[in-house]
Parts: sequence; C-alpha cells; structure tokens
Amino acid sequence: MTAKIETYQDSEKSFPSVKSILKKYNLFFIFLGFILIGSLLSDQFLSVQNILNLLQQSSFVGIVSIGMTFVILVAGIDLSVGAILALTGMLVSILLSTGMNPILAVVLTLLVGAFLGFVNGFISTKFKVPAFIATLAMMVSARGFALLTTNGEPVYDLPDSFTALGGNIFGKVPLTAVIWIVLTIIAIVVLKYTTFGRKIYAVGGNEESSRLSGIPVKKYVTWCFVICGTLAGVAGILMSAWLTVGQPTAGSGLELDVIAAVVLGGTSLAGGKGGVGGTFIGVLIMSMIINIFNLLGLSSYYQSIFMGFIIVLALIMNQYITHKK
Amino acid sequence: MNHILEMKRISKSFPGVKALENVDFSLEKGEVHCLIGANGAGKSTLMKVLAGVYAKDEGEILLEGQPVTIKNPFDSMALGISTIHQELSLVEELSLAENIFLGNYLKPQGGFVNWRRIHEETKKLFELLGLSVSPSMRTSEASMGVKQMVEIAKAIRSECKIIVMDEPSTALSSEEVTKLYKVIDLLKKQGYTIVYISHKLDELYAVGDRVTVLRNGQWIITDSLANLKQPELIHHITGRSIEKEEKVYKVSSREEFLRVEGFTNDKIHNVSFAVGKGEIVGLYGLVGSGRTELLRAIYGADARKAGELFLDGTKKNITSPSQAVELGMGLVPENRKTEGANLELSILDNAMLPSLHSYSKRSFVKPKKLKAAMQEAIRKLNIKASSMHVKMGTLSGGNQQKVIIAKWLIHNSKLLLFDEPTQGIDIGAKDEIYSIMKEIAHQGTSIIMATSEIEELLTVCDRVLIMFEGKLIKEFTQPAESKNDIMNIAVSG
Repeated sequence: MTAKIETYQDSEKSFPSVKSILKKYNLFFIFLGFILIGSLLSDQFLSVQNILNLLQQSSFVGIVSIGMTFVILVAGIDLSVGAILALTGMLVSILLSTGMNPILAVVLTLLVGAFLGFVNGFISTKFKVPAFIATLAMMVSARGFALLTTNGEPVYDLPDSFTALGGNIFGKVPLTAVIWIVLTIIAIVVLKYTTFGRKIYAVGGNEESSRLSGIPVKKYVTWCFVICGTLAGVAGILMSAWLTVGQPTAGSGLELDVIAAVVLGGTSLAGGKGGVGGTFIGVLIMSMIINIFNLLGLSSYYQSIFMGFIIVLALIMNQYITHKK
Repeated sequence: MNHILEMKRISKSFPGVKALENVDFSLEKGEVHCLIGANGAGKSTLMKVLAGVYAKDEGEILLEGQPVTIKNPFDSMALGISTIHQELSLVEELSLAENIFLGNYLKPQGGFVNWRRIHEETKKLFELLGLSVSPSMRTSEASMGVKQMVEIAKAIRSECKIIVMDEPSTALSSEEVTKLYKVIDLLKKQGYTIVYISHKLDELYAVGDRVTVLRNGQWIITDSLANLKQPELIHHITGRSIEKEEKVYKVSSREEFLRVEGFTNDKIHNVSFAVGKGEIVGLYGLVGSGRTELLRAIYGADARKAGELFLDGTKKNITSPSQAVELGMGLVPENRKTEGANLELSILDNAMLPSLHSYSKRSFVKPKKLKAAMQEAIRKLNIKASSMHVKMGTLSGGNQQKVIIAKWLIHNSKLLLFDEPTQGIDIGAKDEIYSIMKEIAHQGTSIIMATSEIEELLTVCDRVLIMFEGKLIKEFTQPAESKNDIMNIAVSG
C-alpha cells in the first residue's frame, strides 16, 4: 500500500459557497425571476386565486411530465403521452357512460394507460426500436383509436361523482393540482430514496456498466415507460373530469410541452441526470409565461412566439451558469 | 540549451486537490521526452494545460524563448502543439483520408472537396509512416495501430512542432508497438519534438531520450534515460522501492468452486476448466484469442451456443449478468470507462449498485448503512477521493478501478472475473490491485483474470490457462517456471 494514508473525508457537511448554491439551484432563481416579472407586470399575479389557477392549469402537463422525467432519465423519450391522454380520457368517459362504477372505470383506464406504456417499453427494449420511433408509432395509433371510439365526437353527461375529480377541495383548491403535487413528492422520494430510483439513474448514466453490474436494464427501462403511460392515463382521466366531457382531440401537441418542461427543469436528454423537482419548476415556469400573457391580455399567438424564445433563453442561461468556472 | 518549450512553475488546483505544484518541464528540440508518474501524479493535467484543455493557475509557458498564452485547444494547436489523446479523436464513420483532412479539406475552391488531391496527400503521408492501407478505408474498419498512425499523420499535417502522445501503446499489439517506435524515430529525425506518456517502463527505455517523473503533483526529476537505471526510476515514481515478490505456490488441493464444460459460441470453442475456492486462475492469450469472450460468456453477458456451468457442484443456467451477480459473480470489465464505471454518478452510487437491495428496507435505501459500508471499502482499498459523493469521472484510472473492485467486495462476490484489470494503470496502483486480488483470494473468493501482461500472470496467478483462437490449449500449474513456454504457446498455438 502507498505511504499516503488519508486523503478521504466526508465533505458533505462542509458549508457550500454562495457560488455553488447559485450554480446548483440556478433554475430556481430563474423561477423566482419570473415571479418577480409577473408581479411587476400585473397586480393580480400573486393573488391567491391566480396562483390556484396557475397550479390547476399546470397540473395536466405537470402530471405527464413526471412520467416523462422517468423516461428521459433512462435516456428514452415518449412522444405518445398526448395521444395516450386522449385515449384514456375517452375510454374512462365511454366506460362511465355505460353506467360503470366510477372507481372500476378509473382503475381499468389506468391499467390501459400502463399497458400502452408497457407496449412502448417492450417494443423499444426487446426489438431495439428507437424509443422515438416506437412511441411515435404509438402516438399515431393511439390518437387514431381515440378518434375512432366515437367517430371523433366528444362524450358528454359524465356523472357528478366523477367530474368532482376536476373540481375543488377545501373550498377553492383544485384537486388536480393537489394530485399533481402529491405525485411529484412521491416521485421525488422514489427517485432519491429507493433502490428503484438509484438504479434508474445508473441505467441512464451508463447502460452497459449497469447491465454488467447485474441490473436487468430492459426491465427498468420498460418500467419507466409503464410509469409514463400510467401517468398519462391519470392526466387523461383528470382532464375528462375537469372538462366534464371526453374529448378525443385532447392533449394534441402536449408531448412537446411536456418534453420542453422536463428539459427546462434540468433533466438531460442523454439520461442519468436531473429529477422530478426540476421538472416541477420547469412546468411552473412555462405556465407562468402563459399566465402573464393572459393577465396582460395578449393573444395566444404572441404566447407561442415568446414561449419558444423563453425556453431557449432559459436553457442558454442554465447552460451558461452550470458550465461557468 | 536549445529549449523549444519551457513550462515554468506551473500550478493547478481543482476543488480540494492540488493537481500541480510548481512543476517545471522543458523540451529540447528534436528529443523524445518521456513523462511518467503514478495515477494522479499530474502528468495528464500538465499535458492538458499545454493542450489548452485546462487553464493553469500559476506559472508561465515559453515557446522558443517567447512567452505564450494558451487559453484553449485552438491556441495550443496554432502554436504547433499537437496532442494525441488516449481516446483517439477520429470519426469512425468517415474514411481515414477524410479524418486527416477534417476541418480544412485542403481549402477547396468554390466549396467543392478535391477528393483526388486529398487521397494523394494521404497516400504520401501513409508512405512516410510506412502504412500500407487504402486512404479510403472506413476508420471503423481499421485496427488500433492504423488509427494511431492516422492520428500521427493528422498531427504532421497540422504542421506542428511538438507532438504529445498520451499512452499511445495501450491498445496496440506488440507488432504495432514496434512499428510505432520506428515512426517515432523517424519523426525525431525530421526534427519533431515528442512527449511520450506511458506506464510501461520498457517502452520508455525503447523510445525515450530523457524522462521527467512527477509524483503527487510535484516535479521529482528530469534526467537522461541512459543515466537512470530502471530500479532507480521506479523508486522515483513510487517514492519507494519495489521488491519483486515471488509467488509461493501452494500445491494443496482445493475444493472446486466453478466448473465450465464445453462452452462454445461465435468466439470460443469447446472450453472446459475448473476453478477452486480461493484460487487465482490466469487466462493468457493474444488479443482476439477469446479471453474476454470467455469471461463474458461465463458471466452471461454474451450468449453461448453450448456448454454447462456448475457452481459449487450445482448446475446453473446463467443467461444474463443479473443472474450471475445474484449467484455471487462479479466482473471487472476490460473497458473501464464504457463498461465498468458510471462516470456521472458518485463513487458511492457506483460501488453500491449491485448491493442496493441488501442495504435497503422495503426498497428504501438506508443511507447510513450504505455510507458505512462504502467508508469501509474506501479504507480497505485505499481509494483516494475527496468524498464518497464525488463523481466517478473525476477520479484517476487506478482509483476508478478500485471503486469497481469495491463494488464486488461490498457485494461479497464469491467469484470475480477480472479482464485486463491493470490496463492503463500506473505501477503503484497496479501493485495495490495485485495485493487486493491476493487478499480476496486468501479469504476464499475465486478469481479468473484475463490479461495480456505476462508479468501480471507470474505475480498473481496460481495457475495459468492459455487460449488460442478461441480454444483452451494448455495449462500451466507452475507459471513462474514456464514464462517462455507460456509466451511461445500463446503466440504460436
């Protein structure tokens, strides 16, 4: 053994510098920046009602983004979430319209969401089809299927016991927002503190070394797609409840918002880096931009234009701060 | 003195580590200057400062007597310094010629590439370097030796004066290494100055004029290799003298742990052998003889067409690494960076990966138990890292390898498969890894080690098996007495 004895110490307890805090939580500071801008531009921005609206509007993209984060962490991608959201939203509405028990209808629908996610994962891992293509195919087919169920017509007259899911609790707190926040917390805990979560990061960081360390990589990747499909199902169900109709065109283009939010939240498309906490902030930033535009009374065309700019700007800033020495 | 380059009092710190401290390094025009030191000694850092990859904290660099600033790799290249990194930087999908002219394409007229000229120029370069391959060959089809030559051709093309070669021989066959020596000699005669980084001492003596030794970020000595005898050099590198330890062979019969019968796949043919408890078995053979493939087949990482495997006398059907790990096997793979290490994760996460479930309750990990186990492993294996939370990628090669070994120690593996465990690792860390292997074996773990270094076999192994063209052709129970036979049989079959 070499003469040098101890260079090892647990530096976890040493006090971090201001610079390193800025670096690590730069996304959060960008987020605070938007809050500041919003509150300067509009008095209503920080009102309780507006904040609740904001959370409510974010919740569908937010819930789907949790699942997408899992998939992106294992270096995958899922383009089918918007279509799965629509299909599950239609399915639950049709089941309810046949008079099925709402709990049973919801459970069945979630199983279908999970199954579709499994198909995504199975095709991309077992047959080595790139996830981009496998889920693109799923996107096209699931959307077609959603439209086919009713020939493109919405499903009306959902029972009140079901549409309550899209309503408020404790007076005016939107239930969808609560569900989103709870799911986010669960996901953070799972990723950080469970063996499953640690293995997800390992698989995303280096698939081959994980495989040689005895991790059944395909199984874990497939699980991530199952989670993503299931959460798209959750969002589909909640959206039908909130709209009080099953809408086969729901969630068009949602996958791109979701991917943007996840990446904005600091999760690397190459896998292995990031997390659900960042995604939560990423989703909120995107909703805040829309919210600020709405409060200012600017048209949605402006929103789209600026959204593109702001996503890129925020990412450039993030890159700049993270890589600055 | 005709110094083409002088680096004076160079210092460079990384968070928590002083990588270089007042290091002096100078090159005489037309010499081959070897740079050597243990992992983490600072030789890569020093060369990265020169190449513009890292900015120095202190010190100055003089090129032909003029102070220069090198802020990025472009500055370095513009000054005529060309670095050939250990991981070659060729684009695999392009032709060899295109790789050489990548970036300027001979400044084509009107935006059209003059392929004929490029191929002609490449041919000339290849003739100069004694290469007999076609310039239009796709890089991915070329051997490592050819790729290395293409890198050198690229450097010559860029009209550089100084060529830095970082462990150029690592992946080369002995024939290719001889060729490399010739080319280095040729370059020297043409007035190029060369920095040659290597772990292999005999290489230094074969190509080098002078040597500089670094240790723990500090300059130790610069001397002509003719003056410096090998034991002395080793002493400078390690800061202590290494006595060659003679292996004492225990001929006692061992209880059998692993038995392999008739293993066959595309790369191996009808391989049968057994390994006892606590025994270290060496697999020796040329590159391509099927050593790696045999290990991977045992581990379930590659499929096999035929063959049976017995652990402790019970037949097991292993079809994936996860089954192998569950049965108490562990693999230390050949390619540390791509297969062994998870560079973005902390060393804690790396080492605990296979054992997570034994350090968890209802699938929630227990961080305290986890850290305690890691601390123990860090101490035992003398892993040098500022914390168990640092990224694997920030560690030196030797320490990364120790983390990978720690992974299997923590998992209490009963059978460890080492594939070229000390490739690209300096002498000091090599010795440590050998002692670790012996220690583990002593505690009853069986080890199979595939290697292409004969010395390694002789110091570590109880028994040596020779592979040739996918077959197991010979067994030596007293390896030390049969060094020449082992080499002859491995080469000629």
